[in-house]
This record gives sequence, C-alpha cells and structure tokens, in this order.
Amino acid sequence: MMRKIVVTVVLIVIFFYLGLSLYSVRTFGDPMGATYVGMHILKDAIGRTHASNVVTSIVFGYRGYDTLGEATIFFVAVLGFYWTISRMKGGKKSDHSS
Amino acid sequence: MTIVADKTARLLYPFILVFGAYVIIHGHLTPGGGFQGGVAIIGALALVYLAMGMKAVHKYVSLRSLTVADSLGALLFLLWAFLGLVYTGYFFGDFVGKLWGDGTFRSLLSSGVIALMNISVGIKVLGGAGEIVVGLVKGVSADA
Repeated sequence: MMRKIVVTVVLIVIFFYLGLSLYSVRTFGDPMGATYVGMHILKDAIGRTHASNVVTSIVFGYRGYDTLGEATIFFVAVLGFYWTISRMKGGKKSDHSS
Repeated sequence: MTIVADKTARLLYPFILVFGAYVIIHGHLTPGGGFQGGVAIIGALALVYLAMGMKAVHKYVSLRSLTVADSLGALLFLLWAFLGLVYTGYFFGDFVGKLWGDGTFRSLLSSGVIALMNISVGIKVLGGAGEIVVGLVKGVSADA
C-alpha cells in the first residue's frame, strides 16, 4: 500500500513537470523556432568539419559517441539474430549452442 | 527462377554494387553515408541470391568473409577514435585535419576523420547486414 502511494506521487510529479514543459515547446516547422543547438550546428558545421554533408558531420563529428553506440547495437542485434535462428526448430544446431 | 529474372539481375547487380560503393565513399559530400551504402551493397547480394540461388552468392562471398568485414569495420572505427585521442587529446578528435590539413571543400579528400569513419562504418554495416541475409537464407549450420 505504502509502495503504491509512493509510486503514484512520483508519477504525478513527473507528469506535472512533463506537462509544464509543453508550454515552452516552439511552433512546429517555424525556422526561427529551431533549437539553439540546431541553429548553432547549421552555422558552425561547414567551417569546423569541412564536410559538405551536414548530416554526416553531425553523425560522425558532433555525435560520435552516438554512432559508436549505434554500431554496438547493430553488432549485438546480429549476435541475437544468430542466437535466435540457431534455436529454431528444424535448423541444424550450431556448435555454439548450449 | 525464370530467365527474365536471371538476366535482369545479372544486368543490374554490378550497377547496384557501384552505387553502394559510391554512396559509402561520398558519404561526407552527398546525401547518404556508410549505413545506407552498406545496405545497398547487401541489397545487390540479396538480388543475386533471389535470381540465381545461393551457389552464385557463395562464388564471391562467404559467411566468414562477411564476419571479417563486420569485425574489421568496428575495429577500424575504434582505431580512428583512439588515434584522435592520441593526436588531438579528444576521443573522436579530427587527427587527420590536424596532421595533414583539411583539404579543399567539396573534394573527395576533405573533412578529415569523418570520411574515414564513414568508410569503416560502411564496411561494418555491409558485413553485419550480409550476415543477416546469409543467415536467413541458410539457417545456421556450422560451416556456412
């Protein structure tokens, strides 16, 4: 019972602040309403990275750690795929299973 | 497959391979990049499999070579990141730009470490997606 009350109070606080943040959301599609980080990157990217594709310069330059995590996730996805398929019925069991 | 599918695939797959390589290599200049180009190359592999069967695919690639490509791409990506740490002091730092200059804007040899990382991620995605395609086709057997 105590636990339920605590969970409810925490959820109410979280959703209160989430709802509060909706007031400061900028209009969708408004170019002047773009976030400051986005405006900064658009102005700064070409001079700093010398890549004419700004998307690539964000993916590999500004957000390098994100790409590292993405590559890791892809690697783990392939591993999970092989784990799953090696246990499917009818397939030959691989040496790595069990 | 019928002769129509066979001939069409034979005609198309070299162009798809070249297009995938182009998207990977020009990732820092034009839309696209390592992920998209690698998946396009594996699309050519899937096309060859659908039209001509697995024997035609195994003439050129094996599961082992795709695994090597996957691991090699990941290790190269980490290598560039650590070289950045050594030469610039920042993980993922642009050591190519620091050592050899930035190159001319919009030429192939520009943007420093971003181009290198793009190519290594392309190799990695090519390997990973190829592993998934080959695994789906064959199931997993020990030799593959």
